Amino acid sequence: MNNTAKIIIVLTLITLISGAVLAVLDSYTKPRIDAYKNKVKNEAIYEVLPQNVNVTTMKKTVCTNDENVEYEFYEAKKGNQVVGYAFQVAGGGFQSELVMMVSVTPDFSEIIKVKILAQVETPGLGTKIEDDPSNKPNPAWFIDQFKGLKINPEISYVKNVKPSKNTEIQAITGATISSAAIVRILNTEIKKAKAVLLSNGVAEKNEPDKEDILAVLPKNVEIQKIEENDLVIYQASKGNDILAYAFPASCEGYQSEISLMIGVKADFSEILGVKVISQSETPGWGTKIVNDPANENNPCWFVDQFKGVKINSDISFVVNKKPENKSGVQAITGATVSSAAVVDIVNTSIKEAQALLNK
Amino acid sequence: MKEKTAIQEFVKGLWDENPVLVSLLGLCPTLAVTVSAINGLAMGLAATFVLVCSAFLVSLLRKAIPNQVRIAAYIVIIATFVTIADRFLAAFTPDISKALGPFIPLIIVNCIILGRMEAFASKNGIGRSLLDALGMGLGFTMTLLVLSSIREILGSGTWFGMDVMWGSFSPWSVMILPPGAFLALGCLIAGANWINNRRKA
Repeated sequence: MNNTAKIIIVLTLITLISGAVLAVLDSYTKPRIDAYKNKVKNEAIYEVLPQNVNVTTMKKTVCTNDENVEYEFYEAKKGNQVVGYAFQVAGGGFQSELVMMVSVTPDFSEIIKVKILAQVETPGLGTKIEDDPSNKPNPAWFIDQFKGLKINPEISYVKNVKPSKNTEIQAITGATISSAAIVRILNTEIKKAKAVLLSNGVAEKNEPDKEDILAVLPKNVEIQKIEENDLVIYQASKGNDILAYAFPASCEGYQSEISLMIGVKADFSEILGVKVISQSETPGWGTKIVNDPANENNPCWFVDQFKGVKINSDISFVVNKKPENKSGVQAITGATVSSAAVVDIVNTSIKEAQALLNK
Repeated sequence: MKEKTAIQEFVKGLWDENPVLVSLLGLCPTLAVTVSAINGLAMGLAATFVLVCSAFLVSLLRKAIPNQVRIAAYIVIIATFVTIADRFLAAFTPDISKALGPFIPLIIVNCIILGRMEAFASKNGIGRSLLDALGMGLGFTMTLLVLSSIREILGSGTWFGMDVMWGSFSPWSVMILPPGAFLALGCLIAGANWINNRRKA
């Protein structure tokens, strides 16, 4: 017994002292570490943007699947005119995460500059994306190729020959995967950044992003497109089993067109998810259908309500109270018209889709 | 076994019981971080710092720590010093901290350190434990420095970032890739064995 007590006391004391020491140390080193991180980030921002500009930071929160992603944009202004945006992008390379600072022209048509912030690619091969010692006059030739590169329709790379188009770059011999990864990250992340930045403005209308479709479907499914009478339905299957359908829908909201992606179970018994793809509702009121800053825990609570809603009868909505049954949702106070529009279009488009599939 | 003198306790780690070349301990960081001399040196010094500080504490507390929980206690002590080293590197030499990545936190489970605590510091006085730890740490640092110098010079043509090879030298990239680590370490260990065999004969 005595020994047990000793064991507990000694171990507790050791861990307590260790914790205290580390807490003191952390309060001393943390400011320095943060300052360094900030310095690196700020230097990168100013490096990729044109010279002599005023930079302001803009934050935007976007709801994806189940989480809220905060994006930071650095807007560069000369006088009153916006001359570019910088933002940080990241993605998987050959063997490490590639983190880059990218700047683009205000219309997102051209890259101004790309700077690599972090990479641990294969030494001597993949690291050439940042520093190629075999090219003495310009070891940064690879990443410099992105200066002034056109983004639309898509950046691509060529191997072993000089690029012939203004959207092309030359990949590094022996590091094709790292080169391709950068091209891929830039393509997807710039588009995403554009969508996020312009999400309160005018959204382009075209093929829905695959990501938006997948967001309302179960994980790990194969998607097949079904098209008939102007209606498009995406069928999600795993093996031979059809699990779910997703379809885009749009309607007139309070002051703008709201377009959604809706996912339902294959037997049309339950909604799997609803995602707002674009809208320009009243800022601060109608925009709460995608982002309600008043609800810090879950700014996308409104559309999240549709998850798991039963479809046996029409979905209804209630104002200022919790929904009573499994086929109701709560409207946003102050944005009843926008909320009602969403509920309405979910109801009608599910019926349309069901009718089309039954035919 | 004859009691070693203080000097012998210190010197044994440098060669006769060198943790990497003779005991083959701590090979994981040895192979992974030795792509450049500065990384090797920083890793060696960080491990030495942890080794010496932990040896001091473990030796000091060796009578107070109950036998049943000694490993747990050692790990907490080692982890504390590793975190100190990690935070300091991150705060004052961020570039090195970035290059060494997860290998600094992994010093916690470096078998050299736990091995010396268990085999030596927990059984010997503070003075001897410190000498032992210092010797082992320096032995580890030296080996890492030699290994990383070979790899950096052959693999990148530089040493501590300075160009040291002639102009037309084309770097053997394999030396800074994982296979190069095994090749270079194998040669080093073979060399050490060869010298030891000749000394015995």
